[in-house]
Amino acid sequence: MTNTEKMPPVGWCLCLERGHNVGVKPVVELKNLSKTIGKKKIIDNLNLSLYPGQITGFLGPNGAGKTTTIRMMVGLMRPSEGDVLIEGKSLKDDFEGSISKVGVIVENPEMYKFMSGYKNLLHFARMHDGVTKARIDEVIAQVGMQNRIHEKVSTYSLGMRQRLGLAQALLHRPKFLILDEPTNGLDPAGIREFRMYLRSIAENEGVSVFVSSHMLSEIELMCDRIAIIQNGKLIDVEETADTEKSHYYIEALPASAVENILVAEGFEVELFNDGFIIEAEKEQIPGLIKKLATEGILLFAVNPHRKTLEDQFLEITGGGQIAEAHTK
Amino acid sequence: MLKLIQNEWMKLMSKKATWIMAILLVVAIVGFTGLSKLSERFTDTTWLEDMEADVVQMEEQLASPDLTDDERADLEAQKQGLEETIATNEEWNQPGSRESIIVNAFGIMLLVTLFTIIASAGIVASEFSQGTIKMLLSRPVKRWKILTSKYVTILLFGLALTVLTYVFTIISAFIFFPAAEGNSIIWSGSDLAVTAVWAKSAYMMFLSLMNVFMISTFAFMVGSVFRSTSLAVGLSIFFFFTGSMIVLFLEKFEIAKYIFFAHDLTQYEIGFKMLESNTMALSVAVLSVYAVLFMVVSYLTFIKRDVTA
Repeated sequence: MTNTEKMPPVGWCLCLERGHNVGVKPVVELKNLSKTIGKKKIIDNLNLSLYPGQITGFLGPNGAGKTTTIRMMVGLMRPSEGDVLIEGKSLKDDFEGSISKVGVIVENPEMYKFMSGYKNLLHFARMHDGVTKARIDEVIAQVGMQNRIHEKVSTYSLGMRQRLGLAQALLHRPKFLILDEPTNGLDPAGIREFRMYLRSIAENEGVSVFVSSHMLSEIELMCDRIAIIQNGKLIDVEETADTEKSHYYIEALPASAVENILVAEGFEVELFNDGFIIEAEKEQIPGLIKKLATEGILLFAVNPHRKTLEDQFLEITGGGQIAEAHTK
Repeated sequence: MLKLIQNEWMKLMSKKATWIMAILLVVAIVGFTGLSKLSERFTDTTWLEDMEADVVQMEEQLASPDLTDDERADLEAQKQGLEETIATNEEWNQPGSRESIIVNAFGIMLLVTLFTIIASAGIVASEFSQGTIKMLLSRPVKRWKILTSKYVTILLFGLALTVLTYVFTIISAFIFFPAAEGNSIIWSGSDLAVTAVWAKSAYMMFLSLMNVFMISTFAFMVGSVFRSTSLAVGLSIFFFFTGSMIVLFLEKFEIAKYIFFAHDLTQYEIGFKMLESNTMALSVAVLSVYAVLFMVVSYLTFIKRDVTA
């Protein structure tokens, strides 16, 4: 792993709309965004701001409304209520003005397979103002496709199609890049390349990136900030913070005695597998081990524990939908 | 808008099917013209000559003074019948000429109709089936502009095929057939001055093109409403071929007048009207109403649609 790549967070603090965004104008604002299809409210009153230079992950279980939200943000679907503001321009009232700042990759980038990659780019370039031939060549070089750009898209591998998809999204130098399941079908090397590329354009060009995915580990590696949606409602916006508290996993017997000691020592205890998880500073651990040992506890393991995004995600969304369905 | 049309044209021309259609069209034109030349060579006209000999014989008999009045009247009637048969057959058996081929060029517009229907049915529907509609509509271009560029492209495509048909018919007519003997050729049972052939044929092509536009507009609507190329092609071709039958069934009713298949514009030039009450003005009016209706339906559904595919 290179230095430019963000290390995976060791946990993240829960805080809505963190303070350091104050004063920075959001690139995108979702305002009371709702979508009703038939009688069902697919998206319920979504409010979210996205900031320049930041990669925001968009997480949610299947059917939570991720794709619908994204479709509304790019003008493919019409919101039933609310609006999307892009650089302050309303998607509803000034479609052309607002969407001209957006680059989109919706699911697998579907290109015109019967045309060459170059013609595809030319096609999309013509739909934006001020994209010159030179700019097309520049983008082609950026995604490293010079050698095969004049071949038909039908001959491209999935990875190449993804890169072409990225190229078409970047043609018009968007201020906001929106990606729906961008790494679907990419191999690990492709995913990593893609991730690093996104980071570099976010950091160097101040682009605000919004990525939806099921792949939690992926989001965890890529994003500065995570929005979680469930049943059409935004249930959490969190920063993958740099100053996390450390957690430790303790496996010891007898369980009840261990729990009593931990609580008595002032730790918050959480059951996990066959043991407990506590939030503790590194310096506290030797003392704690000594304490447990003197109390005659059988100590099997004390490990630093990293809560993965998956754990937290399941925690927040309440876990299995199958289990949920059974209880209904 | 010009750029959008350029885009649509580029996509249409990048498809193999488009080129196959154009090549088929040219092959069909040259082939048909060649075949009609070939069939002329094998046409048996000796029976006509026999008939002419019979007439001469009858005239000789009529000249003899031995005939009774009854016999004479009989013979006269026979002779007249023969003469009429000869006259009509001569008309039809007039050797093919450059001019007669050119003036009948609109016959091949059947293929142009078919091909334009196919292109029209797919130009919106295929964007949905390929999934490219998502890329197309998330651009700073309003939807009505995109749909308009697609429609204009279809009109251009129909026009291009029509011009191709006309040009290749003229070329193959010049290759295979001699110029007409005399100053007139026979067209739709009447005489047509050779000098009027260009104006007449061009006008016929124009009227056929209008028919192509009508049915293509229908295919365009079905394609953009149901997002299915095959449904649009199927329905359009079905109506194209059964349209005149439907009109025939409903001939007795007032409503027949308002069916758009009753208003094939070439009928006024061919001299065979689908309905007695038809006039050019009525046809143009009825077709215009349909065209507007089809377009309104296309635009409304395309602009309002939530893209979920």
